Amino acid sequence: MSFNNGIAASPRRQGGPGIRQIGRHSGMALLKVRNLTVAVGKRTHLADIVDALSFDLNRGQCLGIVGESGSGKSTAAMAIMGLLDGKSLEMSGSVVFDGTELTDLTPREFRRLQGSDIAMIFQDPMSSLNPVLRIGDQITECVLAHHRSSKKDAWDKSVDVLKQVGMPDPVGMMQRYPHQLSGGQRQRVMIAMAIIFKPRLLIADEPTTALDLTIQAQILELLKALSRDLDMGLILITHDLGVVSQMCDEVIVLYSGRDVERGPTQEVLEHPKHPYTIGLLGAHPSLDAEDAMLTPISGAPPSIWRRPSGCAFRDRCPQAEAMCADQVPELATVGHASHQAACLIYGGHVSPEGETA
Amino acid sequence: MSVPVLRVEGLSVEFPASGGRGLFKPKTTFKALSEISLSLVAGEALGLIGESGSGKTTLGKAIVGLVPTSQGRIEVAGTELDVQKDADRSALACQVQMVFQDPFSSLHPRKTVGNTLSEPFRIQKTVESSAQPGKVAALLQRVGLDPAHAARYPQHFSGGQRQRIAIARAIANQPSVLVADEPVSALDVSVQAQILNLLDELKAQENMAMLFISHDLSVVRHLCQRIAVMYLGRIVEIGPAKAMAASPVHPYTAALMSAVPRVKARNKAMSKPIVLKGDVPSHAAIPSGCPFHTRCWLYAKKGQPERCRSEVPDLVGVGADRQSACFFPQEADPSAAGA
Ligand SMILES: Nc1ncnc2c1ncn2[C@@H]1O[C@H](COP(=O)(O)OP(=O)(O)OP(=O)(O)O)[C@@H](O)[C@H]1O
Ligand SMILES: Nc1ncnc2c1ncn2[C@@H]1O[C@H](COP(=O)(O)OP(=O)(O)OP(=O)(O)O)[C@@H](O)[C@H]1O
Ligand SMILES: [Mg+2]
Ligand SMILES: [Mg+2]
Repeated sequence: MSFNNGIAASPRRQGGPGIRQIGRHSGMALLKVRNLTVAVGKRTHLADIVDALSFDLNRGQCLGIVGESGSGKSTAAMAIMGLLDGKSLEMSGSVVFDGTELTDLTPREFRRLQGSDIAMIFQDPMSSLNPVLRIGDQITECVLAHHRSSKKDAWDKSVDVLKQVGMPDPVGMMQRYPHQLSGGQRQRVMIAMAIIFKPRLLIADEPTTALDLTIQAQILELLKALSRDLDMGLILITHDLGVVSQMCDEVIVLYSGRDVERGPTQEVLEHPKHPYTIGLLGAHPSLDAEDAMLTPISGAPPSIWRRPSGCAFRDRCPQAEAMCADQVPELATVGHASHQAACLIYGGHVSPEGETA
Repeated sequence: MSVPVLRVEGLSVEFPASGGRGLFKPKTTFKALSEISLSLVAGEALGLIGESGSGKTTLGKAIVGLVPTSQGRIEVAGTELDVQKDADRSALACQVQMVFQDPFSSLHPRKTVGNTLSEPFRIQKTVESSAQPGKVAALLQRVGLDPAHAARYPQHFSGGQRQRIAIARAIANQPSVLVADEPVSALDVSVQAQILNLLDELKAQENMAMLFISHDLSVVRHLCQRIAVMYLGRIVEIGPAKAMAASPVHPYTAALMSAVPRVKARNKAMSKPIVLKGDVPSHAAIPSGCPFHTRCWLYAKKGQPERCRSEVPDLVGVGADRQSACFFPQEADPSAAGA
C-alpha cells in the first residue's frame, strides 16, 4: 500500500536523532510543526502541557489528534493558531505554514492570516460568539474585516455559508442572538465562520460534539469536500474514534502532552501497539455490542505537575515493567513503516495477536 | 407499576419568532415543543436523541423550570409542580437537577471550583460548613478529578474537566431526577466510560432517574433502557433501546441509526448510511402533514403518498411499550425491508 503521508517522526526531547522525514512530499508540507512545546508556570517551576510535538501536514490531508481529556490537544491547536494566553503560557518550537515561520509573525501579521488562510473551529462555541451581537452581524463583520466588499455581498455570502452548514431558515437565523440558538446551531455558526474564506489550513477542535448524527455526517462530508477540492489541510481534534476512522488519513495519539502513537489511521485503529491506544479502543462504546461494561483505562491521567518519570502512562499501564520508570520512550517504528509507537515494551516489536478487539 | 418520579404531559413551549423583516414585525411565536408526554420511573434512564435544534435542551430546561411552558403539566413524584411558585421551585431544585450542554458558560469564571461545588450544600443547607470541604473533595474524586484542584478557577481546566465539574455540581445533593444534556460529548472515550459508569452507578445504587440527552447513539444505547427520538419539537418514536437499535419503526430513527460512524472499517461497509436530502425545515415553518415528510426516504420510496403531506401522524403504539408517529411503521426498517 502506498502511503504518501506527511507525519514525520519527532526528534524526541533531549537531542533526538534529528528529523526523519517520511513520505514523498514531506518537503512541501503545508504545515510543519517541530518540537512544539507549551509550558505553564513561573520561571523556576514549569510544567509542559504539550511536550515536543512534531508533525507535517500536507495539502488535502486530514490529520486526527486524539487523546484523553486534558492531554493537551486544544492547547497544541491554540499554539499553532497563535492564540495562546501569553500571560500564563509559554511556547517554544517552530510552526511553519506554507514556508512562513508563524512564531516570528507580529500579532498584526498573524491576525491577517487567521480567519482567511488559517482558521479554527473552537471547542466551545458559546464563548467564541459575541452574546450581544446578532448572528448575521457577527458573520458579516468577520467577512468585512478580511475582504473589501459591500455590506450586501457580505450578507449574501453569510446566508450562503449558513445554508452550506445545514442551518434551517438561514435568513431567519441571521436575525437571532446566540442564546436563541440550539447547541448544534451555535456550533454550525462557528463552523460557517471558519470556512467562509475557504482557508488553506483548518483546525477543527471537536467540531461536531453538539450535532446529531445526520448533521454530523453532512458537516464531515463538507469538510472532506473542502479538503479534497481546495486542497485544504485539516487537523481534526476529536474523541470519537469512529469519526477519526471515517475522516483521517493519519492519526496522532496524545497522552499527557506527548505523542505516544501515530501513523495511518486504519493501521493504528486496527493494530494499535501502545497500551494506551489499546485502552482507548476498549473504552469506546459500540452500537452493535450488547450491554457490555465499558472498560475505562484504570486511574486518571497524571497532572502535568506530577507526571511520572519515564513513560507517563506507566502507572495505568497493565503491561508496565520496571524499566518503564527509567526513560521516556522514543517513538519507534512498529510493523508498518510509518506506524510508530513510544513504548519500551511494544515499541519496535510486533505485538501479540488479538489485542485489536 | 410504581409511581413515576417524573411525568410530563402535553408539554408545549413557544418562543418569540425573531424572523419577519421590515417595519411591521409580526409579534408571532413558534412552537419549539409541541405536546410532549413522557415519564420516568426511579432508576430508569430515558435517552433523548434527535435532530440538532429539535428541542431536546428546551425540554430539559422546561422540566427544571428554566423555560416557561405554554401548555401541559410536570409532576415530580406524583405531585404537580408549578415553577411560577417559589415553594414549588425550590422543591423542584431539590429533586431535579440538570447538567447543561455548554460546560464552558455554565461555570462561574470567578469562583473557584471548590466554591462552585459547595454552593448546592449551602443553598439547600444539606451539609454543615465544616464538612463541606471533605464533601467537595469526595465529589471531585467521584468524577475523576484531583481533589487538590478545588482551589482553581474554571479557565484552568480543559473542556472535559469542566464538564466533569458541572456533573459533580448537579449530583451534589443526590437529586431523584437528573436531566443530563450531552454530559459526555466533550469527553474522550476513556473519561466518558468513567462518567458513564458513574451514571450507571447513580442509577443502580441511588435509584436516580435520568433524562439523558445525547446525539451519540452508542452512548445512549449503553446507558438507557428506553429511547425517545425527537424531530422538530415532537417525539416521533419512543421505545425500548434494544429494540430500537435493532429495528427502528420510524424512518427518521432509521436514518439516525444508520449514520453512526463505526471504528472498524469492516463494519462501515456493512451499514450504508441513509443520507437525508433536502433542507432542514425550521420551527417557524413546520411542513404540513408529517413534519418529516420533506426529507423522508420512505416517503420518496413509497411514491410520495398524499396522506404524509396532509395528515399529522399521531404517536401510536406499535408493539410492546413502543410508539411511533409514522403511517408506515412496518416499513421503516431499511434492513428488514431489504432496501
Ligand atoms: N491557562 C492554563 N493554565 C494552567 N493550566 C492550563 C491552562 N490551559 C490548559 N491547562 C491545562 O493543560 C492541560 C491540557 O488542556 P487542553 O485544554 O489542551 O486539553 P484537551 O486535550 O483539549 O482536553 P479536552 O479533551 O478535555 O478538551 C489540562 O490539564 C489543563 O488543565
Ligand atoms: N431563547 C430562544 N429563543 C428563540 N428560539 C430558541 C431559543 N432557544 C432555542 N430556540 C430554538 O428552539 C429550537 C430548539 O432548541 P433546543 O436548544 O431545544 O434544540 P436541541 O434539540 O437541544 O438542539 P441541539 O442538539 O443542537 O442542542 C431551535 O430551533 C432553537 O433555534
Ligand atoms: Mg480541548
Ligand atoms: Mg441542545
